[in-house]
Amino acid sequence: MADDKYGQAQWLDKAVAGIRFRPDRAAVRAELAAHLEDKQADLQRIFPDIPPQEAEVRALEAMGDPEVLGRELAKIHKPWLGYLWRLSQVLCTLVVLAALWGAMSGSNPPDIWVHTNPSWLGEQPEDRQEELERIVFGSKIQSRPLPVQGAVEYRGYTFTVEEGTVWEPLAEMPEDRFVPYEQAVLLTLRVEWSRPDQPLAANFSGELWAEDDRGNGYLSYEDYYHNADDMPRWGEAQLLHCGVLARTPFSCVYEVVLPVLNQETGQVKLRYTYGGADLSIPVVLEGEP
Amino acid sequence: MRTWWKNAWARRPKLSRGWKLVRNLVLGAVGGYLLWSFWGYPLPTAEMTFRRLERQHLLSPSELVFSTPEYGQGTDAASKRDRMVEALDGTKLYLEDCWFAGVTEESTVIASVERGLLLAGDGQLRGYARDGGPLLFPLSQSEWEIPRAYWVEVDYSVGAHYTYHNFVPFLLLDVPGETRRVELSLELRQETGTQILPYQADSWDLGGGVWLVGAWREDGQSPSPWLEGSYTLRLYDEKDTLLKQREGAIPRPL
Repeated sequence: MADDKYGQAQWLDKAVAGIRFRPDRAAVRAELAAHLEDKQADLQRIFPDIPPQEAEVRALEAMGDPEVLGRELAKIHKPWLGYLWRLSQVLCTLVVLAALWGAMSGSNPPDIWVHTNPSWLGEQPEDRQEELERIVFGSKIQSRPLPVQGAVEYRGYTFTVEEGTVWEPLAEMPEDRFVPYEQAVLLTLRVEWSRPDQPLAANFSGELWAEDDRGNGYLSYEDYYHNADDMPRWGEAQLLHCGVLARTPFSCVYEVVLPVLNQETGQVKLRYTYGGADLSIPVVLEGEP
Repeated sequence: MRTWWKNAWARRPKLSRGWKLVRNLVLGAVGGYLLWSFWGYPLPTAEMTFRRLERQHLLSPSELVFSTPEYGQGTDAASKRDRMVEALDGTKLYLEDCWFAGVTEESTVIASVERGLLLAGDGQLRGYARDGGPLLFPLSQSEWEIPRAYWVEVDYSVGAHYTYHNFVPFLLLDVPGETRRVELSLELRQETGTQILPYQADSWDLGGGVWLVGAWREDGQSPSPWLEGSYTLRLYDEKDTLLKQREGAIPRPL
């Protein structure tokens, strides 16, 4: 009996020897063993007097030559698919473990969803108007939409002025007024890029400055900060404000507020020159861009 | 409830091995991206991070003229974050983090990049205008702190006695090739108050017209991290003849 069992085991080993992926080899071996058991049971049911040893031998004979069967099985069971599958399981497990570790170690959450910030001037148009009246002009103002502007491509980034408003005082401003501005431009600037790991530098909003076609310059937040040795305040001289409104992995929307010195100003250029860059985004205040 | 879960699990759609593989690879890719973004998109090398910083700051790729090695802090480094640069005279100089300096026609950009265990993380970038002459600028990327820089003197006569000579690092670019000696006098605004004090300066030729300058004071006082001040630079050739003299304010970044 022991000899026969050994014979069966030997037959099974030979039949699965060509399958190189071990889990497959074990599974196929178990399946073949089950087939053998079934065949043996069938023989014993059909021929009740047959000794179990002979039933086993006959069952093995009925299964055929293990070497021929082994070659066929090896053809079907490609090892690379098994190894790749196992690798993918390991990869998934590692990623889950690393994500848990990352979450527990307090890493920054990924930029895979949209982050939004409220506008500094308020969410509603009337809020913004009130803020501009209060902090820039000190008098009642009216608005008109900014003309549609063209997009600017620069070194793989696309800059688009999406919408904007030009604000002007309703009445002529007194000569001895405290603030020197005659217009204010409020616009949203969308910047897009193609790879999530290459967002525009975080210092963009702080380094954005402007110049107008009358020869006036408007300091960036950073320039003002460095020059004035103090945090800038609203309504102070020739300062551009830029803040992030929304951020996704492929884009960022900035809010730009620019009080303009002269009512005759027809165009301003938003500039980013940090580190030697030379970005210029023209913004036409009236007429066609 | 437990039986319900067991039944639901048994009724789940059975996938072939090929589809399981596809599912796992998709999950791995999505999870991998999440992880990558979780850690701020680190890159395999510090130089790749420097190049990415250039693109993010809307700069064209510069020609690298100075970089510290990605690995290898030497045996005497004070921290694992420090990188060693060997000057042409054999002096081993240590700088905190990986540093890169590249030049374009009109400007030079410098950046330090933090090199992690496997990947290189974020860094900061600064640019300075070039004018054709020797350009001296601080090797610093922040107004808040001066990066650690030092060279080490080892005295074996008393066992192994290490003396760390700290300095404020400056980089000197566009130095004529025939220069053999650099003489520099520096005056820097102090960390506290408006006092401006003179500093001594050592300089080391790194080759290719690049010199590393270390400013220091014997009393150990530190300048303001803004590194404001003025300098007088004299370059001498091998006969100790004055090649070039330049003086001015330490440039502000662009």
